[in-house]
Amino acid sequence: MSLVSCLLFLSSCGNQEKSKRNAASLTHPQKNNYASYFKIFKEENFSALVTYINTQKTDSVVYILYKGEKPELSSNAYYIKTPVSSVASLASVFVGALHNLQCLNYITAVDNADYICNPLIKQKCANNTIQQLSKTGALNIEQTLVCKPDIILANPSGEPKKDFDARLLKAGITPVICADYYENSSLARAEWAKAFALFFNKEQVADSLFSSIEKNYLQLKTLTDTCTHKPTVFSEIKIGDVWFVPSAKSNMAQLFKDAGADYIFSDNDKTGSLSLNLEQVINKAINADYWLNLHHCNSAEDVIKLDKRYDVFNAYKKRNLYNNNALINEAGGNAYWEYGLNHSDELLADLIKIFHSNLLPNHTLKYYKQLK
Amino acid sequence: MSFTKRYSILIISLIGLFLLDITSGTIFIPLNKIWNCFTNHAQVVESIIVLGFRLPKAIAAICAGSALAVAGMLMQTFFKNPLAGPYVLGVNSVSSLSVALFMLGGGTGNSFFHSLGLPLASSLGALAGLMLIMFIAKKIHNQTHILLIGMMIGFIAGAWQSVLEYLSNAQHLKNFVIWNMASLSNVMDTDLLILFSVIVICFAVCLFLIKPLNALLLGDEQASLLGINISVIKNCVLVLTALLSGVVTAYCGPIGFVGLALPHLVRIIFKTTHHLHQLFGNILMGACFLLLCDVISNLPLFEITLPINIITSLFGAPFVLWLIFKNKNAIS
Repeated sequence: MSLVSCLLFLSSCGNQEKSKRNAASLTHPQKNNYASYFKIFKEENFSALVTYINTQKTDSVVYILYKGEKPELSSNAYYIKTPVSSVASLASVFVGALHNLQCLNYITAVDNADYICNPLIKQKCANNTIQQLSKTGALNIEQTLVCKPDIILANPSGEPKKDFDARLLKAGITPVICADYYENSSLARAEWAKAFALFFNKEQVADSLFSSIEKNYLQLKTLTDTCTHKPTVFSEIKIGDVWFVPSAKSNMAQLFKDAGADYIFSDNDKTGSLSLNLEQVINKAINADYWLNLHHCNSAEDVIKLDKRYDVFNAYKKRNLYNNNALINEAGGNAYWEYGLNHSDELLADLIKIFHSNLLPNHTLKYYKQLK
Repeated sequence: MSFTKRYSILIISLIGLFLLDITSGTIFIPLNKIWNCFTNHAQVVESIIVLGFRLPKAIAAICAGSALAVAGMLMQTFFKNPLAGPYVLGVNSVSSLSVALFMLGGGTGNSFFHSLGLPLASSLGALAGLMLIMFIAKKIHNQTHILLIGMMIGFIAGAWQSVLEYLSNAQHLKNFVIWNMASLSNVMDTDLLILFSVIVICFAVCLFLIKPLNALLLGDEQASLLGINISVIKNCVLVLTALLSGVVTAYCGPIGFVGLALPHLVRIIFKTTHHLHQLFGNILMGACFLLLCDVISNLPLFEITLPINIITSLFGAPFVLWLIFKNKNAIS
C-alpha cells in the first residue's frame, strides 16, 4: 500500500456543519469487499470512517476514531473517542448489527420499541432504561439531549442540516449517518458491520463475523450455479396506485439472482426501485412462478383483501406467495429488518429453499413464510 | 347554440373520453384486442387489464366527476355563493377527519362492514361539516366571512387529522395516507356498485328539487311566497350534498377543484341558472372532466399513474381560470 498521504477533498456546501465534512488528511485505506457507501482508513494512532450520505456519493462525512489522545489533524472531521459509552439507534437494522457485534449494552436509546424484536432491548424499553426518541416518527431533540448518547446511528434523511442538528452537535452528540440501504448487494449491507465495529473497538469480531457470512453466502450461491431451471419471481405490493419493485441493480434483485431465480424486472440498469402501475406489473408478472415480500400480509386471503385483482397472478393461483414476516412481534416489528439484513447468508438460504427446495432439504425457513 | 346541440356535444365527448380512457394506459393494447376483451372473456392479460382495471376506473371517474360537480352546484345554490364548494367550505376536511377516525381506529379491511362503514363515516363527516357551516351561516350573513369560517373549519379538521395520524400505528397510517392521495383505480365490485347506486338515487331526488332550487335563487322570502317549504328543501339539499361528496370522498379519496369549478363551467357553457340544465350539465361536464383528467394521469410520458388530485388542479385550474376571465360576465 502506498505510504504517500492522500488528501481527500470531500464535498462542501458552506455552512458550519458541512465544513466539518470538508477535508481530512488520511492514508492507508482499507479495501471493502462489497460495500461502497463507507470507507475505512487505518492510521497509526486512529481510524477514520468516511460515510457517503447521498446515492450519488457526492456528499460524505469523515469520522476520526481514536483510543488515546485526540490526534492533531488539519482536517475538520467529527472526532470520537472509542469505545463510545452510549449509542442511540434510530433504525432496527442497527440493533441487529450491534447484537451481532455483542455491543447491545452500549444502546441507551432507540427510535421506537415497537419496531424492535430483540427481547433485551424491548425489556429495557419497558423499564425505561432505554429511551425511545422517535415514537412519533420525528426525533425528539429535548429527550435526545437529556439522554445524551455519544453517537446516534441513523439513516440519511436527505437533509444534512436535519441529520447534523446543530443542537445535538453542540451537546457533544455525534450523528453517524449510515447509508447502508443504498448498497446494491446484501453482502455489502452485511459488510457495514466493519464500520459499526470501529466505534466499539470490535474490528476483529466484525472481520470474523463478516468472513463467516461471506463464506456461507458464496457456498450457498454455488449451489444454484448449476441450476438449469430458474423460476420467475416478482415482489412487493402496490401502495396506492404505485407498485415499487426492486430495480435490476438492487440488493433484492441480486439476492433473487444468487438464489437461482429469474427476476421479472431485471431488464433495466437502475438502482433502488422502479415505480410501476398495476397494468405494467400484470403485463409482465402475470405468469411469474413466485411472488415475494407482500408487506403486512399473513395469508393469501390478506393479499386478496388488498386488491381483488391480485387473483389474476399465476403465483397467487398456485399459492407461491412468500412473505418476509415470519418473525414478527405484536407491534409489527420484523426480525427480517433487524437481523436478516445483517445476515445475508440466512436470507439467501431462505430464498434458495423457496425456489429450489431440493438443494437445501434440511433448511427451515427463518425469515420467510408461505402465505396459504 | 341550442341546448340540444350542447347536450349532444357533451354526450359525444363523454362517449369519446370514456373510450379514450379505456384504450389509453401504460400498456399499449391495439383497438381490435380491446374489442375482443368485451366479446371474448378469456383470461388473457389484455382482458384482465381492460375489464379488471381500466373499465371500473372509467366508470368510477364518471360517477365521481358527476357527483362532485352536482354537489358543488347544490352548495353554490344553497349558500348563494359562487365560491362555495365542498373543499372551500371545509366539508371535505371534516369528511376526511371522519374517515381518519374510522380508518385509524382500525375500521379497515374488505368486509361488508368496511364497504358500508367508509362511505357512512365520510357522509356523516360531510353532513356534520355542512350543518356546522349552515349553523354559522344563520348567524353570520356576510358571504366572505362564511368562506373564511369554512376555511378555518378546514384547518381545525386538518389539525385533528394530523393528531390522529401521529397517534396511529404504521399500517393504519399507511392505509389512510394512500386513501388521502385520492385514486380512481381502487374502486371496483361492491364499492363501485354502492358508489353508482347512491349517486343515481341522489340525482333522481335532485330531479324533484329543480323547482325549489330555482326558487331558492330568488331568496328565501321570495321562495316562501312561491309556496316552497324552505327548511325541508334546505335539509334535502344538505343531505344530498353530504351523500354525494361523502360517498365519492369515501371511495376515491378527497378530490379537489371539481366541485368548485365545474358548476362555473356549466353556467358559462349553458348560459342559464335553470337547475334542470345545471343538473344535467354538471353530470355530463363533471364526468367528462374527470375522465379527461384520468386520461392525462395515465399518459405514457409520466411513466407512472399520477394521483388524480394533481391532475384536477394542475391541468384543470388554469383552463378554468382562462374560461372565467374570458367569460367573466357570464359568471356574474
